[in-house]
Amino acid sequence: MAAGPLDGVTVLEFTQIIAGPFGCQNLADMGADVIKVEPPEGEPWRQFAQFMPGEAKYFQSLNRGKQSLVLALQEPAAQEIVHRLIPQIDVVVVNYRPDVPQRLRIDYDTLSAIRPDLIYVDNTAFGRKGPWAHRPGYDIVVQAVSGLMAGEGKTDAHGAPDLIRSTAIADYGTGLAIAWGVCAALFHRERTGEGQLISSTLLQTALAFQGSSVFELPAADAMVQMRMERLRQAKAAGASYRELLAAHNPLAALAAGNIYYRPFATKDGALAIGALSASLWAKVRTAIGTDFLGMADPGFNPMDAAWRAKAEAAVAAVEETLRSRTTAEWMEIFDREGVPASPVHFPEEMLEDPQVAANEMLVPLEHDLSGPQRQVGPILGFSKTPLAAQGSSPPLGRDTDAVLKRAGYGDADIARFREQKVVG
Amino acid sequence: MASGPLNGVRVLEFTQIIAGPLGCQLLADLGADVVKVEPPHGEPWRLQGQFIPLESKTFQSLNRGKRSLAIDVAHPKSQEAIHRLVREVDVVVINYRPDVARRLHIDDETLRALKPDLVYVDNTAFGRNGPWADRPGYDIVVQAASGLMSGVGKVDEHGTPLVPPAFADYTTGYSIALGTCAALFHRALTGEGQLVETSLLVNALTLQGTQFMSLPAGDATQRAEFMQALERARKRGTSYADFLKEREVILRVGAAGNIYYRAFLTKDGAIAIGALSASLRAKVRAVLGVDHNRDEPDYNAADPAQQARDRELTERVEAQIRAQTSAHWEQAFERGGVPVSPVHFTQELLDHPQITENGYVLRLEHELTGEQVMVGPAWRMSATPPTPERASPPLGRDTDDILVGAGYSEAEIAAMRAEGAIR
Repeated sequence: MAAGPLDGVTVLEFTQIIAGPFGCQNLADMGADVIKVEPPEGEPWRQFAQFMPGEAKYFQSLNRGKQSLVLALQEPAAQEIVHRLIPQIDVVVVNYRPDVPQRLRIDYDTLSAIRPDLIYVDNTAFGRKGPWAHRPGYDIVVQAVSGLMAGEGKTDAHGAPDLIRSTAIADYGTGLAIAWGVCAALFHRERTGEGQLISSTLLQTALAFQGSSVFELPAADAMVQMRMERLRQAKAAGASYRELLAAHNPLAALAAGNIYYRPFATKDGALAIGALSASLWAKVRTAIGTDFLGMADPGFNPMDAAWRAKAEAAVAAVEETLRSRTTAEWMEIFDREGVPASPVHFPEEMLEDPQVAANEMLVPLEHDLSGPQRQVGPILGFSKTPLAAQGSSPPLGRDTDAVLKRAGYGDADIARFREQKVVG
Repeated sequence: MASGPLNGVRVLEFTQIIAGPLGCQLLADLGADVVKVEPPHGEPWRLQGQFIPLESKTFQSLNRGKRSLAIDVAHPKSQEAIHRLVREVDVVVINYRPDVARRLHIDDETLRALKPDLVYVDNTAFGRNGPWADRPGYDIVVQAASGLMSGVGKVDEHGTPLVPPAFADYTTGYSIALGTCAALFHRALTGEGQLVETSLLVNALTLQGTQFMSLPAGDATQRAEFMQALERARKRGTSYADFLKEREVILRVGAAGNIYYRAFLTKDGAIAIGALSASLRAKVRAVLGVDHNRDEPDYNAADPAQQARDRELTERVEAQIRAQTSAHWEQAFERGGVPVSPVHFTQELLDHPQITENGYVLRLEHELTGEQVMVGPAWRMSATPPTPERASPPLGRDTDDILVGAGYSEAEIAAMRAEGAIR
């Protein structure tokens, strides 16, 4: 069996929670040898909703195929161990706050002095500069800062903003960006012999995921400017968050005519249709049996109250039609007409989904402590250098001895380190 | 001259809407020369919300730094032109449905015969196999199919699910760029090209890795209970909104009160805090001046009495935070070491100092629509900084240049244009 495209690449990971661990898990799936450095108590995600000591689903789903090396990094002896490992390391990934790497002597300048062609990824929440540089930032905070949360516009029963719950999108997106950056830098190093420092941030990823909203284009932005002016006025008047959302929401008016790209409730559940072209829109109308044109209407004018009132009534009638049949009945009709559609599935039922099985998106793994598990496999299929989950996540410190021996330490050194609580 | 790590790499893009265009824009940001192949009437995203003919903000935000080749790929003459171009490129990225590439003679096998070390990146909605392989899938459909939509767990006043942002598309764009770079690295090492495949579905599942994962030692009973409840609900014909409530109980989503990782209303807006460790939770309690046994050994989230106490505390804290402004709480939590932010609107961020001081905004000039400010590349690189230099191309701007580069004469190009093969 061929190895992954990063076979032979060694990665030293100093990260926790989601973004860094997911980034390095992608590298492990690609065949890189990933050594995860953890504090003696383990990284925080091991403790989050743990079902046995030091093991949690959150941790196990983001750290497969890695080795675990326990180091008390505040100890100079542990820092020496890192420095002795570096000549064998191609890539270092760090996601501490900006001042921490220097304090632990694992910053880019220190480590690249030991190995000049090192690739070093420095991931922070908000970037190295600016008023927020030293703030701690978790996914929820970045959702709030970046506009993702307000852009979602969902509120709870009291009108407070609701976070995006289905996924920690700033974290996961940044994990992809980290792996991508490492691969681009490896390619450059292969061509030129040159290593480098890569900086990524949760904030930048969150902005990138809202591409056309974080995009000023004076030639097209008259509406946006009106909206921002309404928002400024509402803020000045001390409006509630719900009122701010109403002032801001660009889609509220458009939604009036939307029967083409949205979920619908059905007789026994819900489905979503996604039609984004005139030809697909026509198929949607045929499938539903409506002559309401909505967004396809040449007279489409959601700013006009009369048009909007008619549209709302028509959309309500379409919703009623959708509620008159089961999801399965509608899926048969939409399939026949060529309308992109799907039942609204729950994430937990996807483990048994035939489409998932047919494409081998699941990998069965065996964990040293907690036994069998199944999880989403590598994101990419490679014909010549197939990706593979290289094993489950490691129990805390499983590989400390092996990694230290690789750096040239003997059994006596390791025993001494353990006694001094430098390693675990 | 481009300065990124992919400087000199040539990419031929057959994609549309978000995932493929974003993936190729990320490659262009890294310095690759990306030729976007578009139908003579333009790709659909040019037409979605166009503010001048064939130009829209959504298109311009996903296609910067590319060249545009407007060509009818179904035309026999065009296929010859595409095959000539393929011999000169390193990477092909495609996001048609599985059967379309073969029909147009731009499938992996056909193109690899012309260029054996080609990196061919094939993105589909649901993967090449299985009952859904030939279905059309847009982001919203894949979100419904993958559980992302129900994971959000929100419905409107009629009980209809609400739509999350286009996460399946955006993350797939990143995966495309990631797979391309890994395959280029392997090719630089060994000279070997290959087929790289991804799908919107596997990316959507990856975003929910933890929920999706099955771990009998940790969650067998809860999972079994959920699956049985789902089956019962479907047999009964329970509405989506009602089943969501049932699901929340089984999976204990928000069963107890939560004051540590959530957004709060303030007197003049809203803030969010994110405390995920015992030490950060202690800091939240210190700032608010409240007691809570959340991190005591006796804490049991499944105990109804505890849940009642948690809900009472939550209501008290909500009222406390609502009594002061966002600025007040931002300062108080910041001083107390708690991760915090006001809930911003995206559009107010273009001149936020955190964003401008880190150089996250990029200023470009579009040749038809003038100046624009957009989000720059997702990361910096010290030796090969990605430096996008050009906005998205007008439709077919580069058709002639590209065909001349493939060896076509002006007369041949004129003939193809007259036949409608190119624009």
